Amino acid sequence: MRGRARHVADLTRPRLVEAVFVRSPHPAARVGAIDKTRALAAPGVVAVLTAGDLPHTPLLDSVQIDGLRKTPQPALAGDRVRFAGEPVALVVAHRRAQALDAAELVEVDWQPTPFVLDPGAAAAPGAPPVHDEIAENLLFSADKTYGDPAGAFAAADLVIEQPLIGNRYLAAPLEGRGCLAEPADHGGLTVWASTMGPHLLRRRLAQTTGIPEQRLRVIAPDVGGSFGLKIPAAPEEVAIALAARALGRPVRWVEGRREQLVAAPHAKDQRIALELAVSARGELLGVRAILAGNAGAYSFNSASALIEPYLGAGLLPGPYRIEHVAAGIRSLLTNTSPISPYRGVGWTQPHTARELAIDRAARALGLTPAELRRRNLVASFPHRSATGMVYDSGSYLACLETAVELVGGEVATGGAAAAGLPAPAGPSEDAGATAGASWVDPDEPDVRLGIGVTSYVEPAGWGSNGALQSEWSFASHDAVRLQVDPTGGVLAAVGTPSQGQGHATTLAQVVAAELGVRVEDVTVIAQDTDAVPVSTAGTRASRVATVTGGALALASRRLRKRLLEVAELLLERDTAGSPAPVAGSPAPVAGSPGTAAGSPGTAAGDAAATLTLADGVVTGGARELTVRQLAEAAHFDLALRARLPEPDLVVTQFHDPPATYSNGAIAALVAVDLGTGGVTVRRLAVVEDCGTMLNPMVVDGQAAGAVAQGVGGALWEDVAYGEDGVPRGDSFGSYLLPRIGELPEMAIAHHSSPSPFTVNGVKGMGESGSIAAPAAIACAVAAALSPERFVVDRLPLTAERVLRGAGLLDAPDPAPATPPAPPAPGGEAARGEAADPESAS
Amino acid sequence: MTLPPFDYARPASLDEATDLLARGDARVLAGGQSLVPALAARLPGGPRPGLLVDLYAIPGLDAIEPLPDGGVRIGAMARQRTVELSPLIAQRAPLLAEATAWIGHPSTRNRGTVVGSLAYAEPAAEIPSVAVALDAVAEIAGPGGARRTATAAELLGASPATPTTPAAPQAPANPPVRRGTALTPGELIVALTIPARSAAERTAWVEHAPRRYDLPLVGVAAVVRADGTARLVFAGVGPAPVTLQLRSSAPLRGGRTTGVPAVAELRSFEGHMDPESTGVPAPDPLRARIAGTLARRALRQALRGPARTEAAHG
Repeated sequence: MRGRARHVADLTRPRLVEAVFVRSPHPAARVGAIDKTRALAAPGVVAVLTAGDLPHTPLLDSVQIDGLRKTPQPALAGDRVRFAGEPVALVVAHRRAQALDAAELVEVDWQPTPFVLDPGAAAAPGAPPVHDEIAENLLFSADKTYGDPAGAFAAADLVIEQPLIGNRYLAAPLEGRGCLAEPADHGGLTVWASTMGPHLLRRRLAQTTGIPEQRLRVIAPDVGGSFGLKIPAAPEEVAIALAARALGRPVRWVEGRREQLVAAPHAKDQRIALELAVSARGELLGVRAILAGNAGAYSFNSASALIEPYLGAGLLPGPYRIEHVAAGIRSLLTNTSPISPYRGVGWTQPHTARELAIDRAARALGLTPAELRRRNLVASFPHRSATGMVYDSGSYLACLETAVELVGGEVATGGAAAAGLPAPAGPSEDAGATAGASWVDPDEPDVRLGIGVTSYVEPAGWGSNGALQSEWSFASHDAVRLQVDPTGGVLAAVGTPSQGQGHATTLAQVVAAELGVRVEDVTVIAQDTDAVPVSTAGTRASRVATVTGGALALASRRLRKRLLEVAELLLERDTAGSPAPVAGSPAPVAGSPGTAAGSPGTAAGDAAATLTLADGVVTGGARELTVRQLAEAAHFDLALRARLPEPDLVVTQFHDPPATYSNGAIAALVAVDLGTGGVTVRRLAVVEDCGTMLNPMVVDGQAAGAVAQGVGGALWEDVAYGEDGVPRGDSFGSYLLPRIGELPEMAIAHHSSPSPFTVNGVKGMGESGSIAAPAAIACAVAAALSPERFVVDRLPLTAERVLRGAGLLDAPDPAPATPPAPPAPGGEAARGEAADPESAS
Repeated sequence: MTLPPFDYARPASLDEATDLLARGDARVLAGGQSLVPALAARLPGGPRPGLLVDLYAIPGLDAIEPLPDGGVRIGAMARQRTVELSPLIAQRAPLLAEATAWIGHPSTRNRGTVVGSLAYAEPAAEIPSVAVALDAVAEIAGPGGARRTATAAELLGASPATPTTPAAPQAPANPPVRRGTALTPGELIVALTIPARSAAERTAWVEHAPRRYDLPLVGVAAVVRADGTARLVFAGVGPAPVTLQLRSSAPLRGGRTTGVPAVAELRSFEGHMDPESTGVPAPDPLRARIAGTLARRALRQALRGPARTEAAHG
């Protein structure tokens, strides 16, 4: 920690002014007159801008999927607001404090209108429409069938019905959103933004402002976390760009924490009714589910509300050989903040529902949860899943065994079969037998222990092909530029900036290893659309290692070949006895065509066989040559240059790799306090297989971080709306994130199954903990409370839900769970014998 | 910082402070660890004082002093961290030291004050309940040199009670609403005095929060006397601390295991907080269950620990 990071809030520009948004306090309202008079008279105020002052093309969900309805979203709302926190005006002042004060003086004639917060209620007859032209608030509805789910369910000996109301998350990066826009020449703009995808933002700004892309320069300075939140272009970013253009001076907006909690896009929030068909022998025959996503008030640009239920449907089989699948995908508009991507996007909540169902099936069959998984995990590769994903390689079984082993050790010492509970397995027994059971903590009679284990597959490293395997239309390719400067330094220009993932290290390692230079001689730049080639998708979808990293590896190989050609020519000249020309000497006449064309080619062929370039030094020839010498010669030795087929040390490489799938298993040991309903995670075992690891320390950091966020989702995180339609959480004192003190010891282990399809067998990774840790913890809590027949049907597992679910609170549920499956057209066909969510809750 | 506009005064004397506070829209600024974040949030309905009266420059307000009768006096500006680590507090009011260690974090305790926490009167916070449990008395200064005292219970509107008839449990698990103190405009608490305690009494503070060190859902102070009677004071179950007197001394005799049977009495207390005798609404079932659990644990912990006289030697 050196304090040298420069975030949007740290930037200084001449004539900079600060902007604060005036936001709707109502979930739905007509916006009457906006009186700016008092605000304009306040100290320091430069301008108060409303929708009419900033004409533009609204933001639009860019995903192209049949049946997806469109919800144009303005940068500033005009006559109508659709969620609490939607901006209607922009107050610009010399200082932020002045803008905050003046924002309170903008008088808006709010005319509140009926609103709907719950996706189940949104589809009911008579529900207020969020967008008048979208009937029943149904943004999207489709039923998909793979294999013969009806047959599978007819043949099943056991059908488990598993409802799940998933929580609404906030990605909650430490640095909130923000941007600074400054007018540039020729009507252009330079925009510094806290973003994951500079090119993506440039594209959205071009579409909304009408400024051509080449006149828009987007720079991502240091970005303090994102986790998906900063993938889409924010309406606020568009508004700031427009304001800078309108005012002719740089304008900055820095999001506040409460502003983020209320007005930033939220995440996940699926209502699920899942059914699992199982044979008496413990085969998982089929799965069918209604996945109803709460879209929020707009289907968010660059991401779409479909990222949740639609992507979740594709992964319903998960890591298991489940051949028959039916998915009813729904997305419903409500008067809540829009849903945008967050780590584990789409997959977290369907995974949780499936894993809870598997544990219940195991209990019904008298198997341990680990054993039921063992019998069904994918074991041969490549494996085409029922939904069309091609799992390239993996160690599904080995990861499960390792996770069970790592988490079981501690429980085995727990002992004490008080209260008539089964004794834990000893260390010598099959540790898998421990998962799913329940023990009393010998030191604390009110505390019950339980273990949950979950296997996962993570569609990771999305290029366009990975997206296609999720039936998603998404251009996800990168171009990179790699160049060696005249002193032998290497510059890697990529379009995928880091928000804390360590790209500057990892990508430099890729270049260093493939090119054969020292890692400290490689500089990675990724921040500036004027300086780096296009990445259509930016940093998202665990794609940087395979897409950007793959492109850099291929570029490095090409550049390495050129360097070795230079080396071969220099060495050849040594043996010919001719003095090396001095750099800058008059250009010699090129040799005869035969020499010029033939020699380097031959030389390169020989070079590949005899010369080695590693750590910046060529060995294997009569003398050693450094990359610095090669670079010097390649730039300034004109005689040598004349013999090179491609006399430059700049390579541009395009890459769009095949899909890869990481896998692993997570196991959790939890303690449930029956006296308070408190859940403590005592131990986590995290086993990850992401193929070839580029940097094990970065992989471990990604695994641990994602698991931490999964723990938050299992136990605390939830953006709860009050009856007034405004989120209740207004600080990190009420939206509870996991802190270091709440996180248990994590045992992280690895298996490695290199992908047969990618450069060096690398796979994407980094989201598995967010996908699978909530399931591991939910399964563990259910196991701890298995004597009480606790069925998890809602996350997070608050004290109240734990105690009530276990029958330990006598009063009726004050806030009954909303039925997970909202009535929606076409739903019954896929669903067959619909699960009654109430029956299991 | 995103604080809304306000006037700021840093008086050098108590009289000056109380005169400033007589202005209707003034508020006291002590440690600022609750007030300042609330100001910065600019929440609708949140605090919007026209004047903040900072007590920092008034000499002597941060003292922690022994009283001749064996009690201790804690000045309005004594920081929570100082109280937590004070040998005098450890000796004369160990319950206060124990509970103070649960407030926020060391960094907030370095600024936050014990008296400020009492005056803020957050229903689930540690200090109000501990002050009631220890029969603490507030010294109050008012405009024109007026001085008076009030017990913490009077100040907070808490009254001792014993459970009697079960009340119908209220359903929603909403936190109790903050009611504030019985201070009148212009008044401020100058110090909190904790009278001398019996050397044989044993105490404990136990609380439960979703995450450790958050504001608790429920907290319980237990004071077990030499004769076996006990007092439990609950935070987070009503707008003011709720006191429960345990008359039965027998279960508390004989140390650790036989001490626990107080559980039997407390079990009946679960879900049955009595509005008649406490003057507060019954808590929701969740808080009732947690309160019952914590009450048992607080008693157990108090009995398990050494009596204060032993602790002084240890």
